[in-house]
Amino acid sequence: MRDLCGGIVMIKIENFSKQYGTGKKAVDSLTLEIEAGDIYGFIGHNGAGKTTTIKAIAGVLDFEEGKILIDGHSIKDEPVVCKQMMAYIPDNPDLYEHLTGIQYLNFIGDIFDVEKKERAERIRHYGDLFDITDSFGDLISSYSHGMKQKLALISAFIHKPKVLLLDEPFVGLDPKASLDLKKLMYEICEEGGSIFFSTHVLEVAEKLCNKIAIIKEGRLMASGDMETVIQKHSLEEVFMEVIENGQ
Amino acid sequence: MGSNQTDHISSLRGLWLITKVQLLTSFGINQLKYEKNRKKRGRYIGYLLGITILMCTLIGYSGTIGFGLGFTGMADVIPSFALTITGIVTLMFTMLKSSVMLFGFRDYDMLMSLPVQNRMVITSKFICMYVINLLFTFGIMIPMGITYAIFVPEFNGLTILLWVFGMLIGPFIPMTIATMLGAIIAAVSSRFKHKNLLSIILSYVAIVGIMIYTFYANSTEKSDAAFLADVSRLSGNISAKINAIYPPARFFERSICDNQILPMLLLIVISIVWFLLFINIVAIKYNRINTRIISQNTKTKYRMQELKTSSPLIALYKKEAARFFSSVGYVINCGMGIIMALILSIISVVNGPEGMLSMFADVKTTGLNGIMSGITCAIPFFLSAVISMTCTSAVSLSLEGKSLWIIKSLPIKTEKILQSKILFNLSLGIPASIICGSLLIASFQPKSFFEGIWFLLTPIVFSFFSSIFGMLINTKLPIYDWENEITVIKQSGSSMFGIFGGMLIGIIISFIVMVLGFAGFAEIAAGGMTILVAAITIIIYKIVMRQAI
Repeated sequence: MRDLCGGIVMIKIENFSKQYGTGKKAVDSLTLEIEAGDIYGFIGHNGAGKTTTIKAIAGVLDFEEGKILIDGHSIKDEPVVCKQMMAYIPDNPDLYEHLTGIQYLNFIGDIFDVEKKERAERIRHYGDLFDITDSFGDLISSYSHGMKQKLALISAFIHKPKVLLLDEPFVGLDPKASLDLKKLMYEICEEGGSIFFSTHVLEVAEKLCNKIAIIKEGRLMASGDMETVIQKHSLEEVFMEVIENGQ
Repeated sequence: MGSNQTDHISSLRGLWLITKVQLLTSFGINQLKYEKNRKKRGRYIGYLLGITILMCTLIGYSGTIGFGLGFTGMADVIPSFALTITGIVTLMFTMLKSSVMLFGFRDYDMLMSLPVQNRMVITSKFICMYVINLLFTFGIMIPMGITYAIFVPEFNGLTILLWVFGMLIGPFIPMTIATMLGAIIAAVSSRFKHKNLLSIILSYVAIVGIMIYTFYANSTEKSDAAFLADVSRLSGNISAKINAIYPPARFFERSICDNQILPMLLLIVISIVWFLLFINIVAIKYNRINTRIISQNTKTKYRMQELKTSSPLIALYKKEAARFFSSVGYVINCGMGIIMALILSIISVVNGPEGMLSMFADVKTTGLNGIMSGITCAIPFFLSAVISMTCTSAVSLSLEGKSLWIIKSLPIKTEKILQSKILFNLSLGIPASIICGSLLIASFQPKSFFEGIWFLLTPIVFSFFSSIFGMLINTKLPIYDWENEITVIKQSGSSMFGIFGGMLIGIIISFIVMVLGFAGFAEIAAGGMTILVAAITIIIYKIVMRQAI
């Protein structure tokens, strides 16, 4: 699936809305396109609808209004096909605490049917990169928040996803791991993958992303190329302007 | 106001505040009050419905026993009987719960960081268990109290007051004993590397010990007694045995039967002193025990080894198995069915069919000769009912809890996730069915091949039924936002329907088969009912495979 400019659209969100119970809409008619090679930042204040959107794209959250397509496949109609291409990491990775790190990674490898040799190589590679291989034999319940975050990231990378959905991925990571993650994000995009992630760290978003979307109270306030959105200002200034004045 | 008094008031306030939060969490009161999502509200209503059904069963059972005792002129036995049953239920229930309610609970860090004394944290956890036990106590003692009032003319206002005090204070001593046992098990296990495994074994040893003790306490003096006298002695025996474990319990008997206040006052004082003693002893080592339980043994430097690959279904199955065996509360509560089935089967082999049946009826006086065929055909269903209590599928989905996002984001169909949970339940139920069925064949020695085949086929079919039925219930009544897994394992609507539903259906069918067996249709009834259960299971399976999570 290509967009008007000829880019391959990996995630297409059309008029997506989500309402919890009978209250107001958490997300209201959101429309976005994320192309192959994009590192797309998604920013907004607490409760703006970022997590709801990411969860809906990941197929974790059911929704009634709108359409979400992953590489042309509907997450509602073909969830398994879509999920095979994606990796999702929530803001607080509650992993299976009763498994050891290696058991969890092997479990993910089995589910995504990652070939045995490749699986071992990738686990070793990312484990060493994030400096966590030594702890693979321990129960996840003994891991710190940052270690769980690293393990969740490795579990995402071992099956080489085309689409990476990350909710606040830098929270809990040490400076080296943050830097390594940024490098890995660039690598994925260079290989034609797409990354859609939420963050509150605007400096990171400004430096890392080629595209940005700002959401306020469930409504998309601004989106597009980073340069077009921020122009001569900093992302922080634009964000504050949008949040306070809605412009 | 002195500083000690101020401290005392503030610690009582702290106790009230944390107990309030614990009760709101344990019973889902807030969800019922504030939850706007209809589906979620429905789940809590399902939970309440489950409790109501359980309570009605308990009230019906206790009322019938009380009425039976009164009707046969043994009303004096009712108080000791009521207290005995309450004691056993409280002892067993608290044993199953205390290991996870009191130690290694999820909100430990949060509670221990509050400016509240250890004693208050322990007391608040104890109060939560007390409230739940109180429900069972009411279910047993109110109907028995009513039957006692009907049959004893001396029953007056004072007796009512004494009975109410007895109900309120009744669970204290067995609860404290069970919690103390739980604390000892937790303290001993926490010293070892495989603390979970040791804790599971010690808990089972304690529970099975109580069961076997109760069984032998029941069965020792039955051989030469006439039925009515035997019931009277049976109650007296159990009551005496319980009194021997905690002598103050006999004060209740004296207080009610003689309408005296002093024995009740003594009971209250002894219970409170015993409780305070317990709280203060546990509080000394509380932090240390919990720290040991919560802290994990970390291995030295993991070295990459060859990875074993599996199909997605087997990978999910392995995950289920690891989840089950990692949790003491899960194994003890959900494994109880197969353990009980094994004990009953072994007792049947060692003591003969009469030995096992004497746990439920006085077979030595009534004799088995005339009705053996009917009983033999009903036994597979009874065995099935017991094995059905091992219904992991009724809680396994809820136990995904905050990790639910993992299976929801994986590229696997919901059917496969549910199949893996059913498969794990079957891997517990089917071997237990084969082992127990074979033991019972050896014990009951069925006359024909067709009479014998149901000993194996019926429990296997029932294992399928309870696993699939449990899965259906859990997809309909899931609870993911729990703080303590025991709320899912023991207190959720799905665990009640799943565990007791299968058991109840098994018992009902075993009675139907027995009645039809007495009429000479034993084999046809057993076969027909097994086929019927199999057919219902297939239908439920098709429904389950259409469920979303």
